Amino acid sequence: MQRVIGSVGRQALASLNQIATQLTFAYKILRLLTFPSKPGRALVRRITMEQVYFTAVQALPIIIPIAILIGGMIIIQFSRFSGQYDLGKITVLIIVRELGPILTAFLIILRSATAVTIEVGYMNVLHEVDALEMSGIDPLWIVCVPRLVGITSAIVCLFIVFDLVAIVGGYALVWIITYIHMSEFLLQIANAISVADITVGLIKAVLFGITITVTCLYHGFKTQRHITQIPVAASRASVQCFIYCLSISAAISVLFYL
Amino acid sequence: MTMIELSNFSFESKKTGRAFQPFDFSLAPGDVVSISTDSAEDALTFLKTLATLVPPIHGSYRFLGNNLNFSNRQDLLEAKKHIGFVTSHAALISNRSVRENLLLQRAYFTNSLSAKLDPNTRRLCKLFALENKLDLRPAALTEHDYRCVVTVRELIKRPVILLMEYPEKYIGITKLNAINDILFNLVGDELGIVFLSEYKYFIETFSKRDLVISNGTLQA
Repeated sequence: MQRVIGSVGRQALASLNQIATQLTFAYKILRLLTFPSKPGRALVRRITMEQVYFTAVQALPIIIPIAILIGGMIIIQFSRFSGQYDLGKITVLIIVRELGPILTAFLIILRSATAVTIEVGYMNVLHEVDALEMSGIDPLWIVCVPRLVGITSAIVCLFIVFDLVAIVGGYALVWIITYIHMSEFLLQIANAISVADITVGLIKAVLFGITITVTCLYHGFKTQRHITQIPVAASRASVQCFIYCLSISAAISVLFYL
Repeated sequence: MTMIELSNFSFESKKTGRAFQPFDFSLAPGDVVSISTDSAEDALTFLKTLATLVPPIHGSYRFLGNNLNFSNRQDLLEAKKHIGFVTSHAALISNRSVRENLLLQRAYFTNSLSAKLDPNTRRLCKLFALENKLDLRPAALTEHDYRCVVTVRELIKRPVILLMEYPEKYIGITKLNAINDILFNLVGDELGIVFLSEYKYFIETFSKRDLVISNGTLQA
């Protein structure tokens, strides 16, 4: 019995230690954003733009059909369930408040976050981080900050795209089987949506962006010696991102809507 | 003023896994030190320690008169940017082209994204036959060209100290002989060099003193 308690305790302490280390790492990166006079600003700007392109622009052809399909499915199901009376309200409730931010985050985890872990892991194992340092370049500033800013802004943008496409595209997909007109549907949404819904969605998107980037960078930098550690790190990072995002989403929903 | 001053310094031996006996080491401007060793791994670790990539077990490291704090990696960047590091541990950034790799430090410190190479870099690229490979990614280079790019990048840094590991194998004897004049001029301009080599001509031409790394000890 003592062994079991000891094992659970050790695992809990290890998890707490890891979370504390990740929070410190996040603080270190976020603190760098407050030094606008640091050298390398032009380079950081360019890498940030590249990151936004990879994470947001290149993800559009994937996120748009997914948003249409999910929006369509939800609207089909709830149009039958509620007799289309509360369709706009339910759409706001499900898509804007919950599914929009979390599905966008999952898509980013699948597409970009694992790529960041692998990229940084390779950089570490192949001594590229040392090469940056030997040039006097701060890896936290040139590797971490652009990815943090790029991925976070990409999630915010994609969340807005997802919501709009899921609502409008989803309706367009199922307009044949619904009795209400598009204008009426949009009016229902306009009546149902509040500033708080949009704010909460944006808060979620920003927190997801920070959490996903920091977790992936942390696992990438933790990979030190062997290339075989990289897939393990990528797998751990994506699972952790998934759990953290779900927890954050639930916590914010409880905080704002309960 | 000495460029590097290690006092009561010790690092972990790769060969034995034990700590080196504490030693003192200093490098003056224009000083050229060749390393003789029975363990190339220990010699590389020593070079990495000089490059501040490996923290010491104990002792102090003064670089250009300043004590280095190994507990914070960001504090070491100022020293690192003045150290040329041409060893098997050196790498290029794989998702940038050769040109971007060569211009990375300039782009960072001058906030300029200009893709134009300065005359010195162009001259070195010509010497190393890299002119047609500037827009390739490192993965598309041969191992020899990759090492040549590392060498060019480290030379254009205008380092105050150059650390080299078997340069005759790293860039080949032909290329090494081709940059002899450049190295002579740099030593004349007070560049300090610490190198590990088996190439007699290079040792006889450049070395001013010998450093023996053997069996967990370092003797100047």
